[in-house]
Amino acid sequence: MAVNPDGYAELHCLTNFSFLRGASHPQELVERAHELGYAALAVTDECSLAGVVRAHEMAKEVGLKLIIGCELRLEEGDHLVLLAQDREGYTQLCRLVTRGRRAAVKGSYRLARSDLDDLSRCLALWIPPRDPLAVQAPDWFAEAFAGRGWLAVTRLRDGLDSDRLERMEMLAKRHGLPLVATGNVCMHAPERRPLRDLLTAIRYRTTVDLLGRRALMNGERHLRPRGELATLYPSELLEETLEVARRCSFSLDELRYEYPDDVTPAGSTPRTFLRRLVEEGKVRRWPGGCPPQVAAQIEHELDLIAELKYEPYFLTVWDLVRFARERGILCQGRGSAANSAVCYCLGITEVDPARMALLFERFISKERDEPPDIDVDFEHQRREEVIQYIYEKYGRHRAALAASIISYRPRSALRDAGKALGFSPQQIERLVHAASGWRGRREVEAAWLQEAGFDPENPRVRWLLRLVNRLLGFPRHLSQHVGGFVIARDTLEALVPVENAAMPERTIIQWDKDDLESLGLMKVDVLALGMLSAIRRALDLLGMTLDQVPPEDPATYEMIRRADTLGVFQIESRAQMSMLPRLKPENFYDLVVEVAIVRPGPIQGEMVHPYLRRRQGLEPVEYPSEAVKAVLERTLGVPIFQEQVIKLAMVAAGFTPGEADRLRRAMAAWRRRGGLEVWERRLKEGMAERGYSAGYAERIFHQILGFGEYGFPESHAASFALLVYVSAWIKCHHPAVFLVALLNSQPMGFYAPAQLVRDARGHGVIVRPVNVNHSFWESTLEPVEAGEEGSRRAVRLGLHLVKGLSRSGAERLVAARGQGAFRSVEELARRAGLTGGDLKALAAADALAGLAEHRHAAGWAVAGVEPSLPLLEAASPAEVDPALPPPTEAGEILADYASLGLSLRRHPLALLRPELGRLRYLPAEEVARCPPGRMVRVAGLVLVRQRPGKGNAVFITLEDETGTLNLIVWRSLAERQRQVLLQAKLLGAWAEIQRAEGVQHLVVRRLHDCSHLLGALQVKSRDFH
Amino acid sequence: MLWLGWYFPWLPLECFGAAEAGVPLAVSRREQGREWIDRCNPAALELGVRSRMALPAALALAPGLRVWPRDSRRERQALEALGSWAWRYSSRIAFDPLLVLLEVGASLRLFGGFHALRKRMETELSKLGYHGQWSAAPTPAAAALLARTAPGSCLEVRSQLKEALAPIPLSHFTRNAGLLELMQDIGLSTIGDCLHLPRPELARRVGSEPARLLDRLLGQAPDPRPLWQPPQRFCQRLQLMAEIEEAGALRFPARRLIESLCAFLRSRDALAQRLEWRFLHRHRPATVFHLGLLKPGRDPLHLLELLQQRLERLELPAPVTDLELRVDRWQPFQEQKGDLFEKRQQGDGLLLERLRARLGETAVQGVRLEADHRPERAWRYCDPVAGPKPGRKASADHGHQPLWLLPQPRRLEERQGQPFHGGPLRLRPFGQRIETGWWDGDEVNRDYYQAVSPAGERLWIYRERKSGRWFLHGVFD
Repeated sequence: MAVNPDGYAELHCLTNFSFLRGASHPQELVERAHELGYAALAVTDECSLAGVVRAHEMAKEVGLKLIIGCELRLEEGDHLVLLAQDREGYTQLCRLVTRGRRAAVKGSYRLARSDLDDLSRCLALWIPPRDPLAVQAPDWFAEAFAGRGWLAVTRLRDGLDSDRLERMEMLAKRHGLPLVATGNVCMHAPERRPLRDLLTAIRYRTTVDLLGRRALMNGERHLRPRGELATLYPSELLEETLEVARRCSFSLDELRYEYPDDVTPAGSTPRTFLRRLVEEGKVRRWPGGCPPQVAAQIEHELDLIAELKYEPYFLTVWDLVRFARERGILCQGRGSAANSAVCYCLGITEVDPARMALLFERFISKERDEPPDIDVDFEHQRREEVIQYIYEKYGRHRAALAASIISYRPRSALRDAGKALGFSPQQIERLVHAASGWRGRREVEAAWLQEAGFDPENPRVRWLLRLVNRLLGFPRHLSQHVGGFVIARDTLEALVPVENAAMPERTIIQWDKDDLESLGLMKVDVLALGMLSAIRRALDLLGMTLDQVPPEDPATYEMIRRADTLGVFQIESRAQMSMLPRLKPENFYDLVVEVAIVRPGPIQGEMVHPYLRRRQGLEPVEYPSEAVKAVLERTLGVPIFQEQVIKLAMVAAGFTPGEADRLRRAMAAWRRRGGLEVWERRLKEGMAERGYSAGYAERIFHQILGFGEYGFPESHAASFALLVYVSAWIKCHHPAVFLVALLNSQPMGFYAPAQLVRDARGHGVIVRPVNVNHSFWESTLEPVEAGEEGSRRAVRLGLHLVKGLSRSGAERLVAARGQGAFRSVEELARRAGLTGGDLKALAAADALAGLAEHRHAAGWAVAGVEPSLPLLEAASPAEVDPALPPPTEAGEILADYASLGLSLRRHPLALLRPELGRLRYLPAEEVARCPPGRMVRVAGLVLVRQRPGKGNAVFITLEDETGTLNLIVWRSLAERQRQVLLQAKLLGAWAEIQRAEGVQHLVVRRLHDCSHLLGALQVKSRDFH
Repeated sequence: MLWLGWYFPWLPLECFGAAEAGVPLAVSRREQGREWIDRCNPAALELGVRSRMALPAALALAPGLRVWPRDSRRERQALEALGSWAWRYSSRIAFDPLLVLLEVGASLRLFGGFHALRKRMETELSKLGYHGQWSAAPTPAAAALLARTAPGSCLEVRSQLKEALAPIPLSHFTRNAGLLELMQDIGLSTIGDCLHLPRPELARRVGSEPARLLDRLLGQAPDPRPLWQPPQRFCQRLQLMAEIEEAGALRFPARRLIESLCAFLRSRDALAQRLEWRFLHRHRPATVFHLGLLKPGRDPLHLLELLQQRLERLELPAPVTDLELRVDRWQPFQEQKGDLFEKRQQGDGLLLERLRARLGETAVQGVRLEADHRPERAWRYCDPVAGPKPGRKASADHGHQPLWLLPQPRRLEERQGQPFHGGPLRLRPFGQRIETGWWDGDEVNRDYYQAVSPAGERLWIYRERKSGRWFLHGVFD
């Protein structure tokens, strides 16, 4: 190979995945190395391969040779760079990094010379210390890396370059090791020097002023032009870099990932086994015979799976679902492949393909080289069992979670950079506050800092602004992905290094989901979903299974259309609730649309109103062509799902499936990185060629922008819609069961137990208070007594709602009660062996009713219970009764809220109503009777404050004793009355009633803080003299 | 006994001199890992800032709010200063948080009765710039509690106490968590409620501590409090029998002051480190100088010797009429343990002490290394007594840099683009690039070279990377 006279390969380069050391992104370094005409670039982060996939993508794009390696500091103090020569060397590197990372706490590593025994296919560079006098002969290195080791010479113009070179030349001669030039690079350009100093200060938890000699002496540690290098290094040393690069031929493209086939029993192949399972499922799903259309779909899908050899993936997911089902854990798959007919047969999803036509547009496509994607939601309280099963079945060497890269956002960047620049803790609070709320994440703006009282002309503030914006997006540490498992056929560490997560006994790989996608590796998302816990509990109580829930029940849809959906999955939020009466869902597919349409994507793309107008027949449904009609017909010509946008690009603008998929990814990233212009041109030209009007093309493009990263796939919406339907059906027909299931699955959902209980009571459910002689740990169903009106079954609140009560104490209590009811506090304490804390918690919850005269007496009694001494079980000394006054109603209500978070007594506002009435505040139910346009005064406890989207309005939900009220506060008023808005617990408003299509909003003209009335309540509760 | 309690609710703000109206100000405190507003001034109140508000919330309401964390040292100093002020009205003074208590029963007659005394104190306080609220009661605990919760109460007899204290919430009186929790659980809240509860039953539940506190409050049990003593400083003046013109002759009278100081120090088991001498003249301002000791001491001969050395080169501007010696601060005496090594250090130290006494404190300086890449900031003068920090040595970090630096880099002439210093300079190969200091506005971007002048001097010069200009920065020996 002819040697390029001034060729150079950089062999020692840190990216910002050497956290707080590297000051440039991997992509920036690769791009710059390419611009400078480097022959190759080695990415050598410190004991990490976390940044290599990003570097690899960019290297492929620009056409630069990338070498994979890492930098290490050994326990003995040696400083090395290792480079992978080939696939085997890469595996050796992964093993070594894994070993070092697993041997230390998260974020650090530990390796010694003795760990370097298995690196036969790696090259090594020995990096000398800066002080030439301290350079010691690396005997062990010469021995360990004979023929594969180099002494690195780095000239950084630090005043000692010549001394060091001299010394290294001597050592090279003595040990017979060649010398090679390296740049010890930590940034792509010299302008990053201040950022690197800032990172160093953050790393040492100090300020830049106190960095001293830890700051860079100069900016030489960047990728330097070859001409400049030629003046610094002897030419043999530069040529040697090419020799090293030549010997490294590994590329990440060589990684071939094989999915495990542990699930396939002996004697079967994955293909035959999958077919057998699907056939069995088909019979189970359609006992009367599978509809021919579905049968054809199944055949088509199986062919495709076979062609792409994806059987092991489907079998692995099937196995997890099978495990969960055996354990009685409810689960449901979603994602592009989950709603296939195959997955329905395998039981991965309950969404019946016959119930919904045309859903499988985006199943798997062979043109796109993209792995199938199935996310499985499990009951949130039992997901851990599934995770443990995975670890048990595959072993920790084969299964690990994907990483989630935690990067700097405006707030964290301002906090860290502010500290490093010496801002005081108060100033930092102020800075962070300036970036909070509804502000964007892409850039910190000078105006924010000015608003927070900082002078943008101040040099420190200017540096802060400049550096913070550089810091944004820098990776900070690796965390665990919420549930994305990667499982390998042999061992994972042959593929990617594995390290410890913050959670004990958890391990993560060093790549995140984008990295995995980019390399075509498969993962299974094992996610947690609270509603599944609640549905499983409800079904257990009803003695049913999910597929026994009757489909398309008219009463259920009728309830949904009334927006009587508090507690129902997804459609319980205020935005969803206000959409329901307008959308008027009548069937399952309407629910799919409902789930997808109240999302930032369709809202920002302005698809909601056109869809509603067309649905109500106020606007004609038109299609510019038959092809578009085929894509958009099911959503009345308005694109609502991500799949439709992709498909539209294909049929209307002539995108290939591969291009359409890249458009999808570009859509997800454009807010972060921009770069959609190419696609805009391509889309508009494509549409013009096919005869679409410029206006239509413009509208479609606008909608694509709106989708951005918020696009909601139809396949997800369908899975969610099923849970919406099931939870709504339970609420509609079994409200008591629904309440018990939700209470026992807390925390989850949008509403707190107080609202759930109030809603259930409003639907006639009898709810009984916590009581030590009746309650179990969880809330339970009780029979309804003669004379009680309402639901068929009553709900007894469980001990789990009692604040401060230990679970073990509650369980002892329930067990002890088996021998008979408790008759006194003393007896309760003794038989259940309760601690003072548990007793106090029970007294505070008023759960001792029946054992003590009232709550106060209970409090006095439990305080007098002495720790039981086995020898002195005799009764306590006779006591003088202090004759405590009973609590007032207000006192009881406040105490209920403090201990349980809810009260079965009157709403606090009921007590204040006379007062509120005098002040002419109307209760919610009366407001509902007023005509629209009327100005009214209302007051209530603030349940929710939201500032969605662009922040043009603040939405407030108030609650009084008769119901809830939805307030809209426009921005200008919100700014003017910011204090009241932020602070009031009891908020009053002077507002105009607006009502349309069954949805009522109050547009606020003026706010009042009425919290002092609550204070009066507090005083009332104490005021018994 | 009558205790007068002065409560200073705004002291945490006032001790920052933060009474200035108009600008929103607040002090914060840290709790559960978060910053909370502790107190704020009226301007901040107007913007909606409240005590116990989370700091970010307060900043949201008042972006221009100035906030300091509460400073207990400042508060203590301010309170002690108020103690010294109260000292003139009573010798029995005690402190409670933000509160000064003084026993005034004994001094009432002297100041013309309680209200006359109280008014007088009020007037003085407002001059001092503090807002205080008062109450008086027969027990210090009751006076303190009333000053906080019912300012302006004056209870002269013990029998009034129970009635006056009964309505006060117990939480204002004690932080005893067990008691307060119990009271909340049983729906009671005031001191009166608590007094009504049966004593043995109460003690079974919350221990005997609350009862003891209540007894003290009501004067049914003694409430011994550590009484405060004002800090004392040594300050003695000696009028000379005759005016002295010659400095050396001051030695003899000065000796008496030194003896007196040493006796004072011994009586307090203390040592002095810094003596202030004032020589007073008839028509001129006093001659004032300080004598510092290497180590705190109270050996009269040593102190006298130090003075003697200073006197030897002191020129008096006029005859001296009075001598004054002051020592504002002293340190507790600690037994000195000597060893060989320390003795040697002491020897060095004594030399230094003498040099400084002779030449003045600023004329003798130490030098120490600083961690900075910029050569001019890589060292600085320091106190020779404190000495260089141990363990920091010049190292390879500094590369090839000369020991002699010019006070300021000097611009070099250029001829044909080459630096010139008494002739064209010969440059050695490239040495060192220093680019740093962007954070403090003193950024440097320089390429340093060694150069040899025609006269054979070895110079250290640099070229500014931005301007391309040459400078001489140091000389190799």
